[in-house]
Amino acid sequence: MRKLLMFITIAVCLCLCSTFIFTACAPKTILVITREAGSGTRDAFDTLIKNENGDSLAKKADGTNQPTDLFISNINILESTAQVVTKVASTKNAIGYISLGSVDESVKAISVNGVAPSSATVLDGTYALKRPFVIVTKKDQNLTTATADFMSYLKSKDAQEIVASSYIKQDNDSKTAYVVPAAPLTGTIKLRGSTSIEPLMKSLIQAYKTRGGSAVSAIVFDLDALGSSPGITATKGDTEGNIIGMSSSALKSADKEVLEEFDIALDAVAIIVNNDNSITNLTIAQIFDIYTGKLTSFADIK
Amino acid sequence: MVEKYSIRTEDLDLHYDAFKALSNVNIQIPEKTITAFIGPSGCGKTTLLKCFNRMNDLIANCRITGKIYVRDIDIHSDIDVNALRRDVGMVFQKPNVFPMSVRDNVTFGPITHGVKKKSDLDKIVYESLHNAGLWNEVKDRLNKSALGLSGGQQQRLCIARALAVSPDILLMDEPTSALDPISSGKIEDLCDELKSRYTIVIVTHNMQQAIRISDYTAFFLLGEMLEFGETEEVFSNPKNKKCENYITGRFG
Amino acid sequence: MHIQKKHTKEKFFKALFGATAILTILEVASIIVFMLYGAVPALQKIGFLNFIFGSEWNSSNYDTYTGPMEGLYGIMPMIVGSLFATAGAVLVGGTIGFFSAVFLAEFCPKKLKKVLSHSINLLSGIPSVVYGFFGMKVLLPLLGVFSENGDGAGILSVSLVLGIMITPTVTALSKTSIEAVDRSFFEGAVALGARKERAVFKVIIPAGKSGIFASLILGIGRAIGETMAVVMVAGNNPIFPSGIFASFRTLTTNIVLEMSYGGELQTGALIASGAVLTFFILATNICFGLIRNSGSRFKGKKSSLATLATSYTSTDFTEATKAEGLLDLQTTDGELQNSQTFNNNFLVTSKKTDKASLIGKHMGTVSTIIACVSLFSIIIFILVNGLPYITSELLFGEFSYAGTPSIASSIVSTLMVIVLGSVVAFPLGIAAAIFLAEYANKNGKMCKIIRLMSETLGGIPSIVYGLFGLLFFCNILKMGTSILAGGLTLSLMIVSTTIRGTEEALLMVNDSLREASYALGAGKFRTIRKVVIPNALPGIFATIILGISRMVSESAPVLFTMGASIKPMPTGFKSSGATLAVALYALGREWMHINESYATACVLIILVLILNIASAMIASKFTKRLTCTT
Repeated sequence: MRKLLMFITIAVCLCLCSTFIFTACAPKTILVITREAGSGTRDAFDTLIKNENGDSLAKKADGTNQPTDLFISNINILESTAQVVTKVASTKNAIGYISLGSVDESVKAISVNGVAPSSATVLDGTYALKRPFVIVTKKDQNLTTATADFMSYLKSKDAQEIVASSYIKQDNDSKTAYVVPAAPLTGTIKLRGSTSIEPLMKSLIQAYKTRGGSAVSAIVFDLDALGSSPGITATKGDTEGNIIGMSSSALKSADKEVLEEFDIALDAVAIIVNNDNSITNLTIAQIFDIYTGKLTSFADIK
Repeated sequence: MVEKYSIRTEDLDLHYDAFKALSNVNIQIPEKTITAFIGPSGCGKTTLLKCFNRMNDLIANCRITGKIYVRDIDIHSDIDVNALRRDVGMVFQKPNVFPMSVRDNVTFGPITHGVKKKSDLDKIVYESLHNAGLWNEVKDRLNKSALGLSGGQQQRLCIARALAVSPDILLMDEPTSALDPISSGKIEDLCDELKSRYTIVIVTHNMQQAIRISDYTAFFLLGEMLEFGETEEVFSNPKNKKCENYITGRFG
Repeated sequence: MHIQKKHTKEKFFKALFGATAILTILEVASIIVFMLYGAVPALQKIGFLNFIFGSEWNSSNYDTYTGPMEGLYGIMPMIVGSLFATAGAVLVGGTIGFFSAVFLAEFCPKKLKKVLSHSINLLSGIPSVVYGFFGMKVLLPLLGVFSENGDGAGILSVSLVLGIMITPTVTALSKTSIEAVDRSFFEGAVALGARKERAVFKVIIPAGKSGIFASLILGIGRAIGETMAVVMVAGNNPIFPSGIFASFRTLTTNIVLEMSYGGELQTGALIASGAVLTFFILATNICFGLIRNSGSRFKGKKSSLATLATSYTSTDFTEATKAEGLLDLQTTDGELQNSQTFNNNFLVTSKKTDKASLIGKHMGTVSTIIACVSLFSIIIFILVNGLPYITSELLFGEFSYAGTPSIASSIVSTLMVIVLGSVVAFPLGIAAAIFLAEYANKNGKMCKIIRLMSETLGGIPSIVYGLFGLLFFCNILKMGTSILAGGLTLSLMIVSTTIRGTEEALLMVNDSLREASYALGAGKFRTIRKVVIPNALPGIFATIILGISRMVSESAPVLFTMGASIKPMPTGFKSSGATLAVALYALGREWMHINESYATACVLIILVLILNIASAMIASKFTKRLTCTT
């Protein structure tokens, strides 16, 4: 009896070992990485990536929602840019997407439809995956003086100079220079929204404080970046007039009705792969197929 | 008159760190008799008892010099100490039945030493409980927890447990001090029956008990054995003055 | 006259302690009430059965209670995910934890024991976010070698990470149980010739069963509620897990991924899933409590042996033995006989019979090694990645919106929140434990209910505390995101571990000490104050340190109640800000500051290390005083 048990255990172990060794040696399939559902970057990505029929990852061509099982079943959902970069950088056959401003030498940003991402290609429209950084406040809500002043700064030429350093300017002629207020302002301004916009907003706050000097030094900035959707939700719930929302994808029609918006910058969604990956370009349709599991190996793409 | 000695010691000293618990003990325990160790608290009786089955090995700072022979074998030489403990059984002052069934308590020892077949174990259970005088009281509750037994029954179960591995020596450390008089009496009767088959060494605080059951008595004081002899002699005609004082109740 | 006075004083203190104990019931009740309050409207809209058994989760944050429902809210995939993750965690952590406890309690060389015990305890102070990073950067690539797409995420990785996370919980409590078993059992077994490992596994461990069991329950609670570490190594796809490397989502990670942007219905659904989790924990505790109580602690093994024995009733046996001629135990010369004799020569080594116990002993060594290796890997990982980036600017620099980040404000807010949490939780917890251990009738209903509630509190996931804190302290009590709300939430969370740990410490104080005090005419309160508590201080102190460690390293409860981003230096308890654990998470969010994130992790670990060493030193001072070991 005991001997039989031992035999069976050894047989099972051998089977398991061989399966493991087999998968270890076989060529790897693509590791698909996306962001959590509340991320503006994800929203932008899902809306921009379409197949030949015009269905995007978010909605079908007829406007209905795509089901959750549209995506490849072992898709990895990660919660922040840093996690996406970490994972792509450490897994050879991984693919993911992040804000262009966050790309550094640890990962490789590939071309999409033959165009490499840069501020030039975004501005002239050749790079397809672009999205706006949208600043929102609640419609019909009286903003506090401090908030209104900061908003005027955000809309000004001075702000665009900050934007230009890592993102893509929204350079309209209608932008004017910022005027420092005469009397000192106080109060708290709450900023809520996209993690992609967070670094930019921090620079803007810093620049605002420098520019405004003593007039604005008493203002307290409460910046909490939990994602575009939380930002929009918070702004919609503003009762005191001191909440500014940041969304890294275009507003939905339902939200447009209740929020004032303006685009402060343009950003590109960069598709990133591991540095050791030989892929340099993908079409949008291919990206669609990768994310839905139709294309499972980089070797099939050549 | 004495043919064989079960246990012998030669110049036995025992130190706990710096404290000398036993000094120059030379004792010979005759076979198949009951020997009582008496003396006031802290005089080393239990310590000496625990030397015989090397239970003192469990204590970290215990150092032993001199020799101890069980069945003429030096127990500190290269022997299997577990086998020694099998052959030299011990019953403790406070009954320490395991938190298991009565049956499992008794079979613990035999299983430890290699008995596997159920029929063998059942035989052992029956015999040990019978030899300990407990069979009739527990035969219907063999699989109930041993902790449900009374104090006296638990102690007899401990004796049964010790007997289950067929020792030839039984060491008993004040086995009745935690029990009521009736249970104590039962155990004393048991000792009387067992001595035909086992050598028994019993530590006791109760001089009347020593008189009642033992054949030989050893008196200890401050780690030294001051008197040893046949019980009747020791109690009627002690040679050592301090022993006489203890026996007559002048101290202790 | 004097007798009269003491009576009222006694009654007062009994009432006081009793009141704190009842607070635990109130705590659980209010959490459940709030969960229901937030969940019921959502459940009504979605449909209870659709919610629990629905297999698709595709939420939409535009759904409201009144409008049309666009999203799908079935949580079955997450329920299954949570179950698998917990089972895996207990398999890994329970095994490693139990065997490490056995090794540490019984087989470990004295010199190593303290070091190793504290090392394993250290594992519990490591923030879950750090486990997540480690899992992501080190474990997943290793496991990924064996998976189809090179991704190690899935049930296997979650089980391993969670397993290591719950090991210290299981080890600490099991070790205490094993050490508390009366030494006389061990001596009895050894005196029969049993080897040490046999005495340990066959006698001591069964005697310590109930504490070991309790440690597993606590481990289950911790595993089922873990969020931050899981979210980084699980894959997070809300579908049924299909293999050990399949991307899946648990109930807790679902909450943390979607909570911040939830619309009306979505938030309600998330709260409902938190309620489901809480009910799971409650049900588990009740079940295990019933199992534990029905077989009373000291019963021997049950039915299998019972059936064996019934086949040997005494009459049968007498017949059988008569047949074999064994009943004539008396030989002609009156000697008793034993039919079974052993080899009476102890110069021959008896063969090793109890192989299972021997294997157990080796598993103990292996488990302890695994636990220690994991600990050191994680610490080295953090130190290597973070130590080079610890600068004075990071630690003490002034807050700036852009530019080099500074965690000075986080250090201060962490201290403030710990002080607040401690001041609230420890007195309450210790008082409640005193009631349970000293005043309550151990078999009474009240005691059992309070204990059940306390264990349930310990099992409620940290994310549910976060939800509750958000709803109750931030919204209803209008504290907003503040250190005040965060501190109160944290205190709720550690009350239960405080109660349990203190109760254990009090129960370990020998009754003879109490008896001596009463015999001198001291009243109950005086006895407790002057005799019991001083003797239980090492244990109580250890519990306090464990609680502080927990508060320092938790992120989920304070993420929503205190703020998720680094803020300027707090000006009071109404300020919001990130604790160190949350700052670590925040810094790591945008790739630019990943190095500072690791540096913060370093600071956190060093802090926890210092806490543990300090507690060890103080605890040993207390023990020296109590046991007079020179």
